[in-house]
Amino acid sequence: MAIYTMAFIGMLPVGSLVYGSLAHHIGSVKPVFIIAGVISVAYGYMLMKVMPDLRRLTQQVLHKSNPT
Amino acid sequence: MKNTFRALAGRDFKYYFFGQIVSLIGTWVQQVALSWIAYRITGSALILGLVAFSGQIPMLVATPLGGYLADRYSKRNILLCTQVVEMLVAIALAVIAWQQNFSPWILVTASAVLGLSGAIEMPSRQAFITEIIHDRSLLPNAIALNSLTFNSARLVGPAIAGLTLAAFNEPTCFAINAVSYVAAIYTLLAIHTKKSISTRAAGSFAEALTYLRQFPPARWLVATVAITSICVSPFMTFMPVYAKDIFRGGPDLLGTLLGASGSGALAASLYLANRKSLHGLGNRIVLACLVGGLASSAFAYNVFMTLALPLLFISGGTFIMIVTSCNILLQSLVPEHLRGR
Repeated sequence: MAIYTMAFIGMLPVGSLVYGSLAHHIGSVKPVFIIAGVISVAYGYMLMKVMPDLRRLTQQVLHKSNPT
Repeated sequence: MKNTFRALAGRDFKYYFFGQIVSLIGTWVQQVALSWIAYRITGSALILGLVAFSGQIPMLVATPLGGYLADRYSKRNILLCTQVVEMLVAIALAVIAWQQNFSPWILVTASAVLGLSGAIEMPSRQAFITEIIHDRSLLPNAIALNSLTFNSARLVGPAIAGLTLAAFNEPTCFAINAVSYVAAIYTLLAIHTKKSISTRAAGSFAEALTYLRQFPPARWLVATVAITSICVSPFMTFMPVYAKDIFRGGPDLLGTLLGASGSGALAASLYLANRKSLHGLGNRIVLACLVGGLASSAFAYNVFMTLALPLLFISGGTFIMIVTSCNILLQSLVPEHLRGR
């Protein structure tokens, strides 16, 4: 949960800093939303590709912890 | 409704839940008063930024310590300690405000101490839920409800803070927060936890990283949360720019925009609280990444207010959908001795 918190709340100021300087260099904040959106869609697509593998590994662990 | 709040049937989680709500609202009242005072006495955006930064940066650097402590010692005692520290800071702030003795450095120091305390308590706070939920099948519901309290406090907290600041004075805001910790501390003392499992000597933070390396689903979950946080942060950072320059409004418009994304977050936590099983959560995360990304791109060049609000609702909703789903899955998967880290 410490690592989760770092990824969740710790990344927000990092993102602000990166996008802030990005927007400063480009001269507008609008493209930044496009960049963030494209990253998110691309990541979602990647995640979709690996999902079957992850689901298999996840189910093994879940079945071990509460056998029903 | 009964289904949405089913984890509240357990006495211990109910105590914790309501203690948290009172304390969170108190924290928001203090937070708003603090930034108000910082701006009022210094008139400097730099000090305002410094106060925010010193409160946030411990979340990145001190959380590993919090995770280590959470696995090593009783999570309840860690929470009690941090609550007492935060209460003492609130009392000190109330006294200083009453004597009108504020200096910028007091504000920065107070904010840093609060940030540090928050960073140390956060892993315990997340992991503690498993110790007060006695029926394992209610865990996803309890995590979703926990996220609901954070999101609703974020939505109503600043409004209550504004009213309090207007109706009373600054010392009262800090005093209210100090009193609100009594509720949190009392409920923590009243809770019966499961026998704590963290008796074995906890290993290092590196042990948790090794686990992530060896178990791909956990690694992907953490990566998803990090990528999503980075992808939504423009919405938090640049919203004043859109409110002022693109939609040509003032602070009230900013409130409306933030309210739209906050309502989306609230709706997402309600939806997750209503779900009964873990089944299909992975697909929801993928879908939310895709939809959230499209909403962000669509928001970029849009100049119509009527379109901006639903897009913000979607963005706020998908963000909470992703991070809360990942929390639920992670907490269902990790071995007990690694939970805090």
